[in-house]
Amino acid sequence: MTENPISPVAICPSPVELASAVSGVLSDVKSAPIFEHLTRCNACIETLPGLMVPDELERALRASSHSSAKTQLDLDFVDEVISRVKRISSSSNNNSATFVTPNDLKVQPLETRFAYMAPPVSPDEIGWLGGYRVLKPLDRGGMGIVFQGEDPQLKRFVALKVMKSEYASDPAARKRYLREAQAIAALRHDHIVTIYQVGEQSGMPFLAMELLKGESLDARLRRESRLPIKDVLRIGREIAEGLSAAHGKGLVHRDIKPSNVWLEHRDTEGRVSKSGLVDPKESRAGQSCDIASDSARTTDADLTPDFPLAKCEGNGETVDRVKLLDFGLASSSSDNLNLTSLGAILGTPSFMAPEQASGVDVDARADLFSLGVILYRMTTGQLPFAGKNVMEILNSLATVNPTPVHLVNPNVPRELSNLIVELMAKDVKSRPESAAKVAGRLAEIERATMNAAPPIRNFGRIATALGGMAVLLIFLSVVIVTIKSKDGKETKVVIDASDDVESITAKVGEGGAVTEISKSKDPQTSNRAHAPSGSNNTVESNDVLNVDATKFITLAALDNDKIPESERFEWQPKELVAVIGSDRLRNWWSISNVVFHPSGEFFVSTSQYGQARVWSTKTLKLLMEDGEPGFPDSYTGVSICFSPDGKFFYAGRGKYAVDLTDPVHPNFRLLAKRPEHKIREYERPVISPDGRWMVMAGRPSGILEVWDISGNVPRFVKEIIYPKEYGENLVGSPSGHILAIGETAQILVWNVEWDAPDGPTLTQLGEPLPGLLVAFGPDDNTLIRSRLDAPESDQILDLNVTPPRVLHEFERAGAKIAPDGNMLAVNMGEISLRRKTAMGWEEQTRIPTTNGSNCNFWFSPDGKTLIVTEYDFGIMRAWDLTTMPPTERIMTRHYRAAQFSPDGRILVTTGGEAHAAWKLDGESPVLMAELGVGTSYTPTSFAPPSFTPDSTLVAIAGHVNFPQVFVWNLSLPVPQLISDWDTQFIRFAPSGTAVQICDGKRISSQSWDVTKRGKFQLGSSTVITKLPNEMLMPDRQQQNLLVSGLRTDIDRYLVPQQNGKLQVMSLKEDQKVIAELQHPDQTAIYQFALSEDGNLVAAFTHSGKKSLVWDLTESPPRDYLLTNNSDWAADPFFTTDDKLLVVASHAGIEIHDWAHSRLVRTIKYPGPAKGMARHPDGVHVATVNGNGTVYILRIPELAEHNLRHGR
Amino acid sequence: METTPVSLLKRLRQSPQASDWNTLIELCTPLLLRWSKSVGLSDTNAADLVQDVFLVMVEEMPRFEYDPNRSFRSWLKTVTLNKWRSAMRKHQLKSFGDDDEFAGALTTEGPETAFWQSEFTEMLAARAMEIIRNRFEPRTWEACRQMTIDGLSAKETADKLGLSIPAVYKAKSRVLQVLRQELEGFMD
Repeated sequence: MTENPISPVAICPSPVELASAVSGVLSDVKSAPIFEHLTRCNACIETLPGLMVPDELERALRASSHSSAKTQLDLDFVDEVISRVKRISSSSNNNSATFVTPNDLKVQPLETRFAYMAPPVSPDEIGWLGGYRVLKPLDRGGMGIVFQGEDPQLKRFVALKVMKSEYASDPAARKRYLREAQAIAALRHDHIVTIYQVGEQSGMPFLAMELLKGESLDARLRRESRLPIKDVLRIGREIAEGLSAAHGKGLVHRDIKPSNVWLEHRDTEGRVSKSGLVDPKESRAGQSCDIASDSARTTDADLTPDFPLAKCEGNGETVDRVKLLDFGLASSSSDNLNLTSLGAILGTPSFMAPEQASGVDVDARADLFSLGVILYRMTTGQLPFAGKNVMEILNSLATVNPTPVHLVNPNVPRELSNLIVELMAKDVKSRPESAAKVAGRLAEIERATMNAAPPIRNFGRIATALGGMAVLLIFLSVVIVTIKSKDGKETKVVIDASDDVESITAKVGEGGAVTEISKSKDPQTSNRAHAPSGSNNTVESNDVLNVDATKFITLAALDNDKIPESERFEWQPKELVAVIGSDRLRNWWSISNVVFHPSGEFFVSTSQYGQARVWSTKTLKLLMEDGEPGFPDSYTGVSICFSPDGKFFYAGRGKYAVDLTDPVHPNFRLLAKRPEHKIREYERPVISPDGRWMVMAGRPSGILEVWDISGNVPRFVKEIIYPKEYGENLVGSPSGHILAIGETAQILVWNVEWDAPDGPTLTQLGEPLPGLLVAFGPDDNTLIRSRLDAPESDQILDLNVTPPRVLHEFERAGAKIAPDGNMLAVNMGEISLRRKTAMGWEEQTRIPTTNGSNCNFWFSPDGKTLIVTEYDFGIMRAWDLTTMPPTERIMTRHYRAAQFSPDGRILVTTGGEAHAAWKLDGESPVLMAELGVGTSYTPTSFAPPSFTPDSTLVAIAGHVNFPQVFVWNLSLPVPQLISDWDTQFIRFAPSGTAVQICDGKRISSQSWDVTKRGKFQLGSSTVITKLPNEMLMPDRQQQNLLVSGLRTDIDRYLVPQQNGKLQVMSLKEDQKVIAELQHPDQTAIYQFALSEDGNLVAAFTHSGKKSLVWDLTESPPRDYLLTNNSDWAADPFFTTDDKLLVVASHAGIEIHDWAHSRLVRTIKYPGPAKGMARHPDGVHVATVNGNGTVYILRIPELAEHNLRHGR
Repeated sequence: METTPVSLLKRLRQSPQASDWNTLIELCTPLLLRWSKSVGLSDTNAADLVQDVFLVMVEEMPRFEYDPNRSFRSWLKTVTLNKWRSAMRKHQLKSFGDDDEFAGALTTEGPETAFWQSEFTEMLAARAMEIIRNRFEPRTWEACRQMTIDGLSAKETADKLGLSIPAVYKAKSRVLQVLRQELEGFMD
């Protein structure tokens, strides 16, 4: 320290040094003497506060104390997410580790990947599970991972089997797993794998079981087509002994097959050697041998003629001992059929008993059938029931009587051949009655064989056997059992007995035709009105102002019975008197996907909740929607895929025939639900060009399912595993021969060999491409991706070259190429349409969207129509591309605001593209006119339209960002736009003589006039009130509110300030503050209302903060707390007697008795209400439900509190 | 300093240990959740999104090269926005009424981008402060917290905690030093 240039006592450090030290910028070595100095130097202490200049970190820390962020997160929730993310992100790499590059295991340190384990203590461990040291992963199956572990107490190696995280997170799966595990643990037998412990750690169930050396019978059979008879007999007998023990406990294995029969090699210690079970080199070196004294060896026939000791010293021939695996998945025979536990691995039911395949309850004799098949396979090298696919196998199971084995393999003793025939009897009763009996008969045959001929040693086998990769346990997941009878006329599908599946019996005729008949309802397209034709039809009127405003028309004529059935709620609320738009759209049923039929005649839109609708491409009419007979049920799902020939489609776990007899009105009918395999969400099917196969991605991602859909009943074929990080947005190329997936960081592209012998096979093409997959272009070699490193940029890639060449790069996300390859649509907020020219892609035109960032679009197969959807608004539009600029055809609409006319006869709805006036004096609202303002339907203001007192003129605020107001004359036979005005809002004064115009900076109160020709004119300006706080004005919500609180009749308006201040201002006296209110939480006030006399102010906040009513007649104003039950409030109003406060909310419509802080009623069924209009009769309100619906409700409670509006 | 001062980001890029990932997750999860809330995601969707973002990070972090033009923050933002957008595209996450009116779909600075400025930094700093808490004597950490977050003077802090003024300065220095070292690269 003395070498340090700063002497701690004598010389004061420089200000910079001082400040740096205290800020923690200096190293310890440098700062230590400074702190030492500080303890002695008061002068430095004194100067320090003035020296401190906070850097970014310190500024951030200081600012965080004011930040609202801290308080707005539920800490328990944060912790929950943290532990979940830790768990998942650590174990998630397993997939990629195994399936991308095996080397990833090295790249990613193991210990980062298994969060459910306790951290490792010594370097050779991955972690701890229960009381076990976890040493290394051994194997992964469909549902789980197997680790080699060690019991530190007993110094015994164990196999630890854990569920995969994605399954473990499902409580039902976890429960089932544990239950199954306990079933195995109850079994102790030499031929059944021993379970030491069933446990759970960090929510992850695990099994500790004996660690076995050796290989599965399946592995052995893959090398040797036939096994020596001696081995066949011994293996068969040991299987039978294991089964006998299990059957004695009432457990049926149900999935006896070679991969579940383990052939254990044991060393002389009777203990697994340190090298574990998977190191073939050590085993081959002769350390592995069987022991003769093993108690399991009950017959001499087990032993080879050589004495065991000699074997160990010699070339290492071992005798394998059978251990049955996965008994955990067997269910008790007294249980109901639980097909989940069956597990059709790779969809091969080759070892399954026919009664099992047909789904009836099975008993122990099903296992005997399976044993018979195994014996057949071991002796002949063939499967008795063969087939190219599951269906054929099942057919064969039901119909074929296999050639007796002694005819296939003459070496097989006749007794064995007979036993196998008996075991494989189709009739359960014809099979041997118990496994014990089978074991006994096999033992007899073994003895006889021993005496007849000495067994042949087989050195070659051992070498290869031990060289094989050990597979410890195969995890079974789910089962599909399907059977088709011999004549092919009856198809029965039995599905997993979980919640939402069912058993379907479909009558199947020749050629797969289904005789089931389904009806389709007439398309219901009511309430879709169109703009009157001949809008150039100018009508003049001389007496437009002479409408009798006193002629009050109630809505009594709106009869519940007149509401079309399709628009009704499930129960008809007594308050509901009319629906404008469609009740079908009342929720946020956004449109997420559009799929054209190959003919282009119609297309299907689907939404996140599974709602599907069929639309005619030509007429754009809704033809059908889900729930109607013959149409996919509500699980139609996000994605639908037509077969290339258009004759059927696959969606929502079912295959549907498309009947195009009437091409304008296609009919669909369910052919069959697919047999349950896995519960997948967001399924993305892709159908092969020949319509035979379907490859499907979904959630959880990481698995592609391959289904044979050539028959009516989709049949599961196999799974293809890919790294789950690629997500599940599987996309097929135009030809159907390339598949791509990738929605996180990289895109995988596969070539599909649809006709491969083992069913469709994927070959990865090239390296994964960085970016997000957007779409294929018009051909297989063109792919559009979003770049991850530049999120607003997309590229069109040419996959012909390696690495892919960038053909075109453009801004923004979302692009599609027309099927002919000549048109490109790019989402730039607007949709830019570009045509391919010699110069590249040249923009032709742009078509507007309401909110481009959330829109999507699809070309029709002929490229003549572009369907644009905007899921924020539930909007769907069609553009006719044969004209340039394209012609728009609106298909759905949404509403932002509504207002009744003072005479109560008209309701004007505004929103996006669809301002409209509705007549209310008929049986149900009738569209008078669309008050269109051109195609620039960017979001309109939420400010409600404003009527003149005589109900003749209505002012509609235009685009929210561009100040423009449109005034329509509704008294003309054809409503006309008579003026548009460059201002934010116009509000007609109830006095009938003035109009308030707000441009964001001031309110001007002016006289107005309508000329004889029906033109709207402003008179001379009378008052201009500057808004007190211009800073507020660019803020959209403030503008809305300003208008809603503007009351010229009582000369008051409300101006929200920051920090929860609200000023009550006078319009006449410029800038005069009548009252200043302060919200106790200093939280922003978004919605407010003034009572009729201006003495009550209601203030609503968001985020569940307090909402209040102030009574201004008291001084200081007294506040009343409202009981909110929603975090959204809109368009509040007081009843005319001031007693009730009504507000639209997420909960529906709330009626508050504000003086008593009581919520009188919440009318919930309209669903979340974005806004509300009050009818002048005081009884009716119209709710605006955001995307496509306006409800008119009669609320009797309001009647006594509301006098007629209008003075 | 008991360890070689290598920042969390560097460790994650070079030879990540489980504890490093856990630190990152603890550090960033609240931030991402807060962001998710600001764009109106439900708890479930927010949790999903956070999880998805970390999946990308686990995958990509070893490949994340230091590039002065590409900060961790902007990278995280990009990944998050991409995940969010693809989730929106895919599942149409839509929570009623929140972003529609106020998120300013039309404005460039909606909550989806605004967060990544000061709020990100503030939350990050505060969160990191919490995370390193148990590395210090309680009073050392508390002294730093009071001076930096609460903005108390050295004298006030010293009085409150019964420490000398030089001691609180030293405490502040020590905690900030660790904080700086851990957060190196995060705030760029």
